[in-house]
Amino acid sequence: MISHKIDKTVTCTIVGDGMVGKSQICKTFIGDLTIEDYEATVTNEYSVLTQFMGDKYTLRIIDSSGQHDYKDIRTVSYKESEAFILCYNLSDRDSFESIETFWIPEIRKLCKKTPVILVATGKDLHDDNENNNVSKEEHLSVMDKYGIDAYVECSSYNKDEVNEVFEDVLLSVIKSKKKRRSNILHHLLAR
Amino acid sequence: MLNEQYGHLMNRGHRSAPVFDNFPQEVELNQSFEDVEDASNMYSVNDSPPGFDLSHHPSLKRKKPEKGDSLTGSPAMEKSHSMQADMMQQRPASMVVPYQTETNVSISPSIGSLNRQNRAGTAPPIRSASPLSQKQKLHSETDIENYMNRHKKGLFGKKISYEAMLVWQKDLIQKPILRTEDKGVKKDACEVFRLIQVYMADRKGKGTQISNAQEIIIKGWHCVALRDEIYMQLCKQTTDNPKLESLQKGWELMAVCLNFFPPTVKFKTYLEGYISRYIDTDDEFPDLIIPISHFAKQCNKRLEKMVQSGPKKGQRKPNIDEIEQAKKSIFNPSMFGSTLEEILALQNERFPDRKLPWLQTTLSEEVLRLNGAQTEGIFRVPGDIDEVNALKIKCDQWIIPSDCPDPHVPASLLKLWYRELQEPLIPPEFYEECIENFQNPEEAIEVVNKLPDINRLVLAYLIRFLQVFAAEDNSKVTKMDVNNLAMVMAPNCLRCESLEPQVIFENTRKEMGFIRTLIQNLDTSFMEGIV
Repeated sequence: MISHKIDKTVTCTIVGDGMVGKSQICKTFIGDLTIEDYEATVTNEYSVLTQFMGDKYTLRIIDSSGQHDYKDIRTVSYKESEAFILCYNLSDRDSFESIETFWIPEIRKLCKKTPVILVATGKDLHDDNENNNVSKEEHLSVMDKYGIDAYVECSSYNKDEVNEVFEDVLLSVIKSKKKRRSNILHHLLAR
Repeated sequence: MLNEQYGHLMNRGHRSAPVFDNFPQEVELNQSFEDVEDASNMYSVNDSPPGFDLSHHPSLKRKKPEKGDSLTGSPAMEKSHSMQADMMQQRPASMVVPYQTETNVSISPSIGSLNRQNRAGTAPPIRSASPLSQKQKLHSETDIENYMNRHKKGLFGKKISYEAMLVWQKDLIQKPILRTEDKGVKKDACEVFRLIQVYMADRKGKGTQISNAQEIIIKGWHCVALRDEIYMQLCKQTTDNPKLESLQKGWELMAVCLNFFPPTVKFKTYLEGYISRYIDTDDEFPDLIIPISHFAKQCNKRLEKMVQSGPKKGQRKPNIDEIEQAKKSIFNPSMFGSTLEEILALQNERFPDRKLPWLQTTLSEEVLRLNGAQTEGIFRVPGDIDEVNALKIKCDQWIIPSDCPDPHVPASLLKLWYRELQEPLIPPEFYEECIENFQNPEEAIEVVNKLPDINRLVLAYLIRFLQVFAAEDNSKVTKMDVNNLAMVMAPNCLRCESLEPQVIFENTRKEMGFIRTLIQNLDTSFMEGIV
């Protein structure tokens, strides 16, 4: 048995409207548990060493600004990203609608095939009675429509499923790399 | 006295009716052609105007063009070439000739300018206004021939007349219309011509219309030598164009180009003359929904502005959004994406007394009315995009609907308005100063005082508005302290032109710092009562 002990770096960018809790996801994941901060992010970068399916990975997380106006600075990191974490807040319809109207177009314009993970934040705040909430059917239809690779509902507050978000990131990156490799192989064999 | 006057004319390579009067025998020679007017299109040595040393003529005929002027080396151009070379010595190589002041014959631009169309068979209503106008060619128009390549067609390389070169054609061109030495320009010119044809739907091609336009504009924006050629080609393709759609597209493209780069000073007169002759020609194409004169007016306005301001600044290539915006604004002048001066001009009729843009004050008040100052994440949380777009359209009709309860919507639109101003609120020439003095209150305020009046007022109003939100009572609820406010507003006031990610990152913090310094230190009490 040979285990792959080589470090691999995976870069992902976390995007979504302002105040949905992007920075909080990152912080929870890297183990910073302070939730008092309330500062609009310009851009931040975290590097975490993590283990996934027996391999060691360095996960580079780029925390971007949710301000639509900060397009220039945000898209700088798009090209090097191998996956996107696209966030919306479960109890904020507008942030969900922005996914379709703003974020997917912005991402797909620059990165046609990069995997995207849809993340619903504020699971703990989810309230079924409010019509502000986003229903399951809706997010499923968006996933179908834009070929989104995975969907996670999480809560930074309860630390629910936050790790799963990043597992999905790694999984989808590995998958898409394999796919690309097999595509190349097919290409070569077909000749 | 006469001689002096005509000699002056000659200096511009211009042969007009008065010249013929003076030299009847020379005209005789020319009349082997069908009519005098046509003959004057050819650069015949015979009709050389007075004041020109005639003994020089035979030599002109034989003499090979000197090394310096054989730009393209086409023997067909020999005559006009050396002639031009001679003329160049007598005058500065400038084409900036206001065509009316030259002659004593007073013709309105529209009359003189209709000439070329006359020949093309359109019936001009005002032709008879001056008998001279029939033979009179626009100075700038005749002049342009001095700068033109000679195109050929067919197996035997039959020369195409300058006239024919200046009208719409279906085929590609093999070399640029204007003479140039630059190999790159020669190649690009032909490519641009193809792209123009694709844009105007005269030719099939890859890519969307807008991406074709972008390619043309990037080329023109990038390469100064190519700019005149692009405008020349657009003039050509909008002259005697048989298809109305294509004609409109051509004008549209010209207007869009004029948003990104100017022609050279030399070429400006020609382009101005070309555009101005279409300003009063509404009756010519009755089928058009948008008359050509509308495009011409837009082009004229943009040309004036572009010559003043110079090409689009910065290192970033013109992007699709900017081009879309430039295109849209041809049809509906909008309060978005314009300059502050234009916005004030737009509202001048409605609100002659306002010193500030109506949109700015109205939207700001709307945010406050909807209790934005007590709304969590105001300016940080975007409003629903569809709502924002709907409000935007309403605003351009001077309506503020009162049925939208969400303060994020006007707040987002307000940010968008600042962001989309054609020139950033703090103009590029002040950018560096702002960045350098972001921590220094006195210097920062000094920069504000140096701004042009309108920019200073608009900025002071914004800062005053933000100071309301920065007050502790409000920021406790909105959770938008001065840092957050500065963060969301900075990119709407200052635009970093750098391409380097590193510089963008560093400057972003300084931009924020500058706005923060202003919110904390700028005394905006003088804005009290100013609307």
